[in-house]
Amino acid sequence: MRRRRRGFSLVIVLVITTAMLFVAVAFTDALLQAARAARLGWQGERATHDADATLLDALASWDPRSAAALRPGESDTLPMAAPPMLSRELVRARLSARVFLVESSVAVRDGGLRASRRSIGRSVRLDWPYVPALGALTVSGVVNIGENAAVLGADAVPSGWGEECAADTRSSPVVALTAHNAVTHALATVSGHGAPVRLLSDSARALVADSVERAITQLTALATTITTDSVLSTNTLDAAVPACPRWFGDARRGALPNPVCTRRWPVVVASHTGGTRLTGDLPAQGVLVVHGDLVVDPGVRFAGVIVVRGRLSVALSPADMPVSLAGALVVRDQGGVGSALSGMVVVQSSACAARFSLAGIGSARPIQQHGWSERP
Amino acid sequence: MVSVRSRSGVAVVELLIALPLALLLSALAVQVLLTQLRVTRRVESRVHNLRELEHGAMVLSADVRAAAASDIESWTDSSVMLYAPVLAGVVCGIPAPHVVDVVAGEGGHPLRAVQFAVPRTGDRLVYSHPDTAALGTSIALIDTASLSAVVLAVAKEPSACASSALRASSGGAPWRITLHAPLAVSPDVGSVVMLTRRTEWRSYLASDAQYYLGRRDWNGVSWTVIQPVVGPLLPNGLGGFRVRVARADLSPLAVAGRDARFVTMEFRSARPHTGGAPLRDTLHATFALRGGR
Repeated sequence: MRRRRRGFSLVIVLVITTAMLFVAVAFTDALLQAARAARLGWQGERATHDADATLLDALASWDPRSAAALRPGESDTLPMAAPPMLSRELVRARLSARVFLVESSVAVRDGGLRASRRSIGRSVRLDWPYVPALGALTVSGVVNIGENAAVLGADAVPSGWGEECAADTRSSPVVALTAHNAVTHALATVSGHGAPVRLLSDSARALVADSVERAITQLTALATTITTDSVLSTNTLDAAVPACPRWFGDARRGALPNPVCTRRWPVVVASHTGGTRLTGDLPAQGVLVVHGDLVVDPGVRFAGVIVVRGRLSVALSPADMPVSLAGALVVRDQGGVGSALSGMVVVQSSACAARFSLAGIGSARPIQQHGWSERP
Repeated sequence: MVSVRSRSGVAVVELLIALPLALLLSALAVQVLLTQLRVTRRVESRVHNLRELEHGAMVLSADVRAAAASDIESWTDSSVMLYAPVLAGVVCGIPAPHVVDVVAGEGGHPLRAVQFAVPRTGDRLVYSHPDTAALGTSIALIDTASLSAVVLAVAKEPSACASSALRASSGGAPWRITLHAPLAVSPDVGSVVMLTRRTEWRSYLASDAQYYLGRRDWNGVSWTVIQPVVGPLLPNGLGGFRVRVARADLSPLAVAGRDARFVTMEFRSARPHTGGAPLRDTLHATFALRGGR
């Protein structure tokens, strides 16, 4: 008969093993917690820096044309490539003609559902070639403002543009006319900040002429279209973009015009060295650079920036449709022939029209001071 | 046949062999156990220590990361006074020369305000130079410095910027910020502004005779009571909290200036450790100031 063995080695071993197990579990748990905290911290830092880098990438590859299509208050999301464990999103919102808020968000996943997400926002300002607009109309030569013509320094908001111009209207007028020499008819209206006409000295005239030439060179380099056509009609439709004007954007607002056309801000360069005629009665927007002389036909309504190397001529009879040029108009008068405006032509300063037009070729520059935010 | 007697004799021998072995095993096991416990306590203590320091650095970074050089007011070896961000938003209207409405939307839209604290009297409104030229002022002229004004009152104003496209897209009631005096130069509508608050971080001796890193802010009239954020730290004399401000080439700055580019902070703590010297940990954090070129 076998007697039951008595002993306690097993018990001791079991107790010790259990105790060690508890310690090991507690130790492992602490380690796991520390590892998790470290991983989350690392992921958060990685997400923050990736968001910063993504934002800088987006600024470096800024597409001015797609940005220009946004109206103030609107935003779009740009596609951003990312490796499998990252997701990047870049949203840009337009605040005014010149200022955007760009927010980059990055989520770093650790294989499961958990993800660390960080967002960095930066306000950016658009930079564009300097156009020497020293008034509503700047002429580095001689200009004759004829009967019924008006040059106004008070800031204008093109019809229907009220909402988008809210941040870009100027309450104080600019100088109406800056020229080397100007002759104004008694029935012409020239009004703005200070004296109706600011005359340029010979040296100032040379400086303005140089600046105009530089602006023409820079705008030509950034042009959407360079044409040798001698007639540019705002009524000509584009075959590629149905119902949109061929040369310029549609300056009308409201339900009637196609939004695709009203969000275009092209820079058109008429490289024809002779006379270029601007014609048509469909309101146009954008930038027009003329390498030769510019003749504006009756009925033209243009909002934006016009830079002319030669002379400007607008000659309207009383029966003609009025001409409206809102924004900034700069004429070099290279030949020294002199420019002339007569009849119902209104040249008026419009900061909003000029800025939105130039924004179509603007490059993004981050605002240095306080233009930055971080969302944890 | 094996007798019962001889069997019981074997048990005694077994016991005599097993007992010392069991004791030896137990001693080894207890030794391992105690070592593990010591290591666990040490690691836990260290993790706790570092977590505490990291927490301090994280809270402090929220104040420093958005700061520009002009926001660093002054510092000593163991304190720093700066203008910490309270709110970043977009101006949607200026109904009066001393009133500014700022969009404060909700949700995921980038136009929603970034808010770190509830704005209040005594905060500072910081904004860029207005872009006054018809075709846009040169960036070199307007983005190199900023303007500021002191806030008199601030509240959500549902009727503000009712027709603004900025408000329409962001949603939410804007903040109406009333300033102490009319602004000589108003910010542009559509520009980004910030509310900042004068804040001091200081390593101080608390009532329990320990040093803590505390934070207090200016309410326009006086400083609030300092609140501990991290600690206990080593005493100031032993470098519990150290602040240095440096230029772009990392050379130290003695007084606040526009050439400040980095703020370096060092936290050191010692946690008592049973069976050994106190555990000391150091966390070193360098922040790049915004606005540097």
